[in-house]
Amino acid sequence: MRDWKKAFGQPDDGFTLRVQQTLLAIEEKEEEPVKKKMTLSLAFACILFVTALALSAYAASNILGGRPDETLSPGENSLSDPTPAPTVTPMPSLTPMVPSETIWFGGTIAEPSFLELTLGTPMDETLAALDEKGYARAEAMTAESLGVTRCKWPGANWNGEPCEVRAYFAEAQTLGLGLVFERETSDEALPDLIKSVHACLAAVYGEGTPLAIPEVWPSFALKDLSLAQWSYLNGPRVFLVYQVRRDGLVQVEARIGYADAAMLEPDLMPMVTFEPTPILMALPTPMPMEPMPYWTTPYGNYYHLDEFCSGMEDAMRVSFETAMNMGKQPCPVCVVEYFRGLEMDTAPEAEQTASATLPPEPLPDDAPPFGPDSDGIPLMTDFNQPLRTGEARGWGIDLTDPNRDDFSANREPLNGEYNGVWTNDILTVHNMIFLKTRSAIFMEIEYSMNDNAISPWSIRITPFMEGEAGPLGWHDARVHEVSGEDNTIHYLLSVVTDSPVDFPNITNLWGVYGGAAAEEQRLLGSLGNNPDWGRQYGK
Amino acid sequence: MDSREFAQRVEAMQGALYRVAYGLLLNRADCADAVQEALLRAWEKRGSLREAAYFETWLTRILINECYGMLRRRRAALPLDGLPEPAAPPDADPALHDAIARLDRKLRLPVVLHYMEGYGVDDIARMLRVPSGTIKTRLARARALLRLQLTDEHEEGRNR
Repeated sequence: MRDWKKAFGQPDDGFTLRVQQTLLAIEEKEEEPVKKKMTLSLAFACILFVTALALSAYAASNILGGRPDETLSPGENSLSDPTPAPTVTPMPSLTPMVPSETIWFGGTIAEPSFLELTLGTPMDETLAALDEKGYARAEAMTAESLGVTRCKWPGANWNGEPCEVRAYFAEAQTLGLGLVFERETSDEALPDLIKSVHACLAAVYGEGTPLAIPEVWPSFALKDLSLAQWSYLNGPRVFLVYQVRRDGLVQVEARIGYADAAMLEPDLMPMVTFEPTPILMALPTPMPMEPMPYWTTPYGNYYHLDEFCSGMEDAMRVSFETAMNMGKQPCPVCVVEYFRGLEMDTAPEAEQTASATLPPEPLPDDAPPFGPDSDGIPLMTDFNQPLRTGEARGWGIDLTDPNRDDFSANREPLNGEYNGVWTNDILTVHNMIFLKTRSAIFMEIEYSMNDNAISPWSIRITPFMEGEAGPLGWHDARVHEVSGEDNTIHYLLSVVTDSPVDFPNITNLWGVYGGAAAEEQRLLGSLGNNPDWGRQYGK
Repeated sequence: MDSREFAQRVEAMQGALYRVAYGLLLNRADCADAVQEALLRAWEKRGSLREAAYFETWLTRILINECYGMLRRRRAALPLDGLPEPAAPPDADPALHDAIARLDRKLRLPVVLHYMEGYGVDDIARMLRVPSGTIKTRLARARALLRLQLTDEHEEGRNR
């Protein structure tokens, strides 16, 4: 029987001495402020005495000429208290669905049996139909932010394979159905599993878009990040979601539903948000001569160009400035599409603005390439950029907060106090590692803090992408994983593409941290092959 | 917490601090540096310790971060390849030392915290901010590797 504690021996005399010296130094440090505090207390008592004398004299004769409080004008004696804009996330806008979409349920390929999934089927009917199959319903979970409920029926089978049935509902209507397969598999076997499920689905729904397995299979990244990837089969309503979970099990879901079904499960799916926010230079501001009308509702998160976008009712007409002041974001459906067309023309001007706002400091010339050929190849750049929480601008997020992705709710001002311990702490970004796969970019950020005892926190990084055809806009990068073990933050960045399987040709990636307003933003760094390639910005 | 209580609690866990630091740095001289820095930092930030009962876990976490910082600086200053394997301290169990030292750092730290310092899986998971399942897996993998290495070493010893 070995004694584990003898593996590294005992602390030697040098170690013990250093510890004792350090503790002595700490004791001496503690005594110093006590002396100072006593001196200060005496001075403070003197000031209090003099002030009390002056105040009593003022009260007696009003010699200082102060005016009574009632003469203050309205508002002069009150702090402005603007009511914050309500943060209600609207339902994802759903594309119309062809009635009678069906899902293969049970049976074999030779004798498939289908379960009808019809547009707007009441939730009760779908539940009853699935319950009738004899499987016990295990879970009903509602994503409050999306208003979507998911139910599960484990113990089902599909083509003889054990699986789990899932159904997705919103507003008591059926949105989608999924079959989930879960099994242990190796990196090598994973593509085969996905291909076999794909083949079965394709047999029912048709091949559609061929399943593309990348040459460099990013399963290690999928596993590390427990990332879900999806692959569309025949149109956007039939697709596979595959995920290598952290426990090593592979989960493949064949799902049919609305085109927006990918948005139904924010925890599983990388939420795709293509929201160029009007900060720095991404979006052109409306022409001053003819202000463009914008539309919004009091409780909506977005401002729109289309008064009736996604079935919106009772929208009020507002100016761009008003929309901004209300904290509205551009609608991903109508505003983003409109500005995507304009961005091509405004790109050079936009770059100028950025350069003027944030003067670049050159990095070494050997910055790695970031382009179409870098798929699956991790790129790393060393920033070593300290970010002081004591700076007057920007905000951070406590990464141990389970709701850390809700940036609007959890931001903490960097210049404020976070539980009394953040002020003037420093977080240094050492390395940023980028890994591009077919539909996502992973950013791994290595950091250190001068206060190692507190929770890890992060700047929110909002990446801006440029492709060969022009700017691709700002993207929402979600904090996927925080490891205190090696002080890394994993960001996951999904990219909206015209074609679900083709990754856009990203030529440049900029990371920005800070608040929502342009003056609060600081550019952290850039990777790419344009003139701004490999530069770092900020302090 | 005053300096006297701080000192008392640090002295009580001096051995643990040494082993955790050594487990990551595999170098006695660096251990003293890391522990010194961690103690100074912990004293500065003692206000952030909300419950005195968690002092040991809290200080260990600070030390781990300090060690990672040292490793990062060391990695920047030294080439990764060609470094000799660390020699066991004279009073160490050389076979066990070498077997643990050969483990990947991600496996080594849970071994030190669990088997040497007696922390539970959940405590380690909280300390390292990784899921408990991951810690269990790492401990299992570490055990398997250690068993293999120590058996080989035992066999070699018998064949000699």
